[in-house]
Amino acid sequence: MKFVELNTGGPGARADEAIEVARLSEATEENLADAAIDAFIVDPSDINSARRLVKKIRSIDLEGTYLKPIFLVSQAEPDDAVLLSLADDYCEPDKIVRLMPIVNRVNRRAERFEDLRAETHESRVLDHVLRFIYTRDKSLEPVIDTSSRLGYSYPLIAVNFPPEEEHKCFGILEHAEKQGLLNGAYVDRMHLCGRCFSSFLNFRETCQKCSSSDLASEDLIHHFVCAYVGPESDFLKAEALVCPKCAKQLRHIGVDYDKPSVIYTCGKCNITFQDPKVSALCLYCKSETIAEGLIEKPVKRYSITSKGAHAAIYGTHITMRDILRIEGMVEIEVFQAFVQNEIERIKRVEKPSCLAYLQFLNFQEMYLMGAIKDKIFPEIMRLMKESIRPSDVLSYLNESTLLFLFPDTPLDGARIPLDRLRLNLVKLMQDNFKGFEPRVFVDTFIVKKDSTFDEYIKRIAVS
Amino acid sequence: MTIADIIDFLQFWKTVGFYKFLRFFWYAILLEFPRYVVFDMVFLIVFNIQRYLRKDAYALARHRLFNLNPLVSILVPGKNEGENIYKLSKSLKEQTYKNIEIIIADDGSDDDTPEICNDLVRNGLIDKYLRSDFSGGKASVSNLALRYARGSLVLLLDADSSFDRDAIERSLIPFYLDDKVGAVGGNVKVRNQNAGLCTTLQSIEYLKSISVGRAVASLLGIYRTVPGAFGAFRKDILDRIGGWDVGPGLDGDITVKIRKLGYKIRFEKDAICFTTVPEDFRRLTKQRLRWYKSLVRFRLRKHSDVFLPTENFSFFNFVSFVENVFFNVALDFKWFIYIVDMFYNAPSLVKYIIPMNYVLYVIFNFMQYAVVTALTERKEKESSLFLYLPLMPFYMGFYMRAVRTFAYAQEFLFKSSYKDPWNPWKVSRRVLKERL
Repeated sequence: MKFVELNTGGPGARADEAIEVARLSEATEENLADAAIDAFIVDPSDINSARRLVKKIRSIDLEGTYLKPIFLVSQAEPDDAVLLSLADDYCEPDKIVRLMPIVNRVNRRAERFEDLRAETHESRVLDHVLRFIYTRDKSLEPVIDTSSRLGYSYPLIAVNFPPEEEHKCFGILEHAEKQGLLNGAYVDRMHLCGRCFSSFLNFRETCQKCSSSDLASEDLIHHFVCAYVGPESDFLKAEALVCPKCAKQLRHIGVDYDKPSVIYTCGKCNITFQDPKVSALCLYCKSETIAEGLIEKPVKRYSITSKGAHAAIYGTHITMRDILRIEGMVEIEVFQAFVQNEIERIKRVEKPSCLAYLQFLNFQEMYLMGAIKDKIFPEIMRLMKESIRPSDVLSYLNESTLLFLFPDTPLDGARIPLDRLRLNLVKLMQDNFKGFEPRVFVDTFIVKKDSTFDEYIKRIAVS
Repeated sequence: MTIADIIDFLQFWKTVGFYKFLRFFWYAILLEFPRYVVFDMVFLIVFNIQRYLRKDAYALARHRLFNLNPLVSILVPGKNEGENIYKLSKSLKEQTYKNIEIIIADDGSDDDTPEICNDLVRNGLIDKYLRSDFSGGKASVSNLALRYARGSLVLLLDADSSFDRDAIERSLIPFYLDDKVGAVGGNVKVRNQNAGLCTTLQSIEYLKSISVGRAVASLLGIYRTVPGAFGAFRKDILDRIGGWDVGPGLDGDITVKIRKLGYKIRFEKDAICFTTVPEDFRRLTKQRLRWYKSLVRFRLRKHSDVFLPTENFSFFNFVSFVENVFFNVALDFKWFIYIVDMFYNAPSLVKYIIPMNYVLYVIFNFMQYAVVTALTERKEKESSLFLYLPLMPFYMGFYMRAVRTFAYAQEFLFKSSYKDPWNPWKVSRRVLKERL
């Protein structure tokens, strides 16, 4: 078994009969990808250097590298949650032989893995995560990390994204939970800036009118006997509380008076009010958001389900079909029967019908992109529903292609609504996902009396 | 009752003669008829003459009001009134007088009133929402609103009221007609007039006792209750007297306090407000018990100094109180003496006296209602109520008298207004202990 030390001056770990300990001159991607390496050894005494190395290994998009066990070898347990989360274990330099069972288990489980088919970065990350926790029998734990702008981090996912995109981990994990691949157990709840997804927020009460946080608050006092109500300053006379209306001294709360509320005065615009806005100043992008406008996310500990274990072995990918469920959708076999019927009808009455398709190639990528996706899908479904009539028939040809049958409709009658649908979909996604270029294609064919369903499918595949 | 009975009844009264008739109905003919019927009729004439004579002064006062354009703070105290506040704010935005700030004072609502009001503030439909987290009574939240009011004039409204478009303007003009006016009462009418017999009878009662009755009192200089549903006040005076004291009956109480300072109180017949009244007799009885108890508590106890020749003695305040106490309390107890007198001294004549009594009051009611109809701005709607006038002697003479007498007795004997759940116990307990 070959262990490779990455950041020590010499062999820090003591070799064993069964374990050869070598040192890598330079931790390049090529060197790290060496298939002969069974595990990496990292010295955690320089936390920053150790973090850099471990993150690099875990982010390499090579099956044989990111999954490899990483061990922290030191006299004491390293005091770094991110490092511990990314590494497999830690041990003292002379006890590395104890780590062999871990290596064996990871290798044994990894042997069953099939090639991944994922097309997008996000779905590949999900596959990596599933495979990692499947081979380790571990749960995916959120760790408190002040160097991450999320505050809570899932290091295993975070290593795959630049810091400003780390929030994408929520989309991936939510999807995995919804698909039954992971089980989430509640840990905490976090609030993120709606603009930059930072959790470094300064919450404070602000003025209802001018949003200034320069507020002074005072208790209101209600004097029972004369019904005078005013701020405490109205009553303060030397050390005593004296009613400004009836000049009686207030001695006992609950008997002479009570404090029914608090009143705020804004130091900037001088208005008084009782219900200040709670707003948050993002310490990253300096934007100010009212509390209700923040993104709220549950922080969970995730464990793999049996479906997730299956997906770890065979891979997983998100399809449009899984997410968009449109009313009136039929199975492809039924759709085929409709098309055949239509061909027969055209033979008799010679009135044209149309067949069309809509292909959304990077749907999966969009799905994993961000926090607003849950609001987008009903909108996409609404657009689609608006583009078809009750007599039209819909089906999925494959995970990214929708088929439409427009009975008794000339070519323009099908093409125009479909082109409009395409434009609307593209605009909707461009408006909502910055930098995302949706790849949506549509085409329409006249159904001819001497054609077959298979011919159309072939035409779609070619186009 | 047969035709023979009616003939017998008429024959009896034909032979009785005037003096005996007077013996049986002296209080109705000598006291109530002049006070409630003759005065109303005289008022009708005087009102029209006065309106004609003051036409120019009124126009000038209106001009002054709009020229000076003072900020008017509209205070709306209440509990669980969220659903009414939106309608109220919309109604207020329709007013011809625009320089207003709307302050909602919430007496510890436990429904969705805070959410509604905060939303209305955000959308600019109300200016301020002040909340007491736990109930302290209507006076305390009214004072809370007053504390943060910025206007030089203050309007106190009920949340379930709605207003004619010029109601606010009309209620403010008297302040510019006469600098000594300290408060102005609006003309409160019944919105749910057709909800049932109970509300129909109250409609007639309001038209008689408020639309005309208070106008007469105002003309005589003895008007004594600016209604909590719609009253306008000078803010400096409210600040001077420290706002409202613990109720029930705080409307009458604050009016007396302003009168005692030497200010005039005016009723503005054309400042029209509609309010929702109790729709069944059980709720009406509860409301009236509270109102009538406050007469004893405030007029006869708290402000009894009005009757004394102190250095602050005011003739009009004295007359106002005497009139109030005499016609409401004294005549009320006298009625029972009268009944006993009739049954004791002329038991065989009771069957003639009571129906005649009823007939007399029906006639009085028709005469009074003729004045109402002559003065009202909603002639068609309100004149249709005359069909119910024959029921009014029963409503006012028997039902209301019974409620009133019971309330007076309870308050005289047990000071029961202090135990009214209308105020929280923490407040009533202290007020009772301090003998206020």
